[in-house]
Amino acid sequence: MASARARPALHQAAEQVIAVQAHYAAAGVGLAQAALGGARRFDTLRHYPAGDVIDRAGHSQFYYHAHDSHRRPALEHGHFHLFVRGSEPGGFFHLAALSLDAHGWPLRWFTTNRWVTGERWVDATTAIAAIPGFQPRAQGRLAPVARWLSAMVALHADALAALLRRRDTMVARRLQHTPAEQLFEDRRLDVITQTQVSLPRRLQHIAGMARPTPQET
Amino acid sequence: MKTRQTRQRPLAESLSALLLATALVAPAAQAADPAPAPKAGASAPAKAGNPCGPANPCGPAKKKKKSDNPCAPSNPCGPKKG
Repeated sequence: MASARARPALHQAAEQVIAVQAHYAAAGVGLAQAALGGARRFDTLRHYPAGDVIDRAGHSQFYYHAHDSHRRPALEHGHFHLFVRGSEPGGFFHLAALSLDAHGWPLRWFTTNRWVTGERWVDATTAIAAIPGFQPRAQGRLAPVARWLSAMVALHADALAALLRRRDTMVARRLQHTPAEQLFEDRRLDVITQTQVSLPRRLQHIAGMARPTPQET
Repeated sequence: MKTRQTRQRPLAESLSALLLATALVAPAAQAADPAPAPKAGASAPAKAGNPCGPANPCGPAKKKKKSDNPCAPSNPCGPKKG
């Protein structure tokens, strides 16, 4: 359960999420469309935007794309990959990914195996410590998308922390009978953990309109 | 307590307005496979699983190296094809 001190921050994040979605909705656009940044085509595996949104000062990076996976929800349009960049060249780790449906409503957060992004693997404690700092700034038409993602991370910080801890537990269990390199390069294991997202319900809870579900506590 | 109530009310109202507004949002077009690339420019095969996929299909974008001559062929010293 979020502490009393965290409530104003949660409110602020909720307001930000609503403000950005309402801004796009007024133009008949959802976050899934906005994430494409005005691209005319939506090609499988291509990054949107090309070259990603990279906030070097803020050590954060993200992009949106789509592809098949055996754990892809039927309603998924695409997903954001969120990265935390280290100070050394090429040093980054994957914080989490966020799936959206075609109307731009979030469906799930998920973590991935190391080979999926080629990341420098860090433990959950390190990743969780980076959650509050994930506030990418972008210029131009993707600036609201960056604000929305920052707010989504803040809004689901507890769920993300739990997701990352579960990932480590699952990895630790498998490492008991599988060599590390074999596990981290196992092409059959792409998504390690996932958790469903009901953004309206999460926002209703923060607005005092609904009781929290177990994943919201 | 009063502050919390006054803050919650606009949030609840703006959420209700958002839920109404998003009912009018058009669904985004689904992703389609891009046109196949010419064989000469094809990337190296992945290690396993998907033989045509990149090694790290979801890795972040890498900084592109600036070529001295942007119009040069990708393998300037390769044998002539065909």
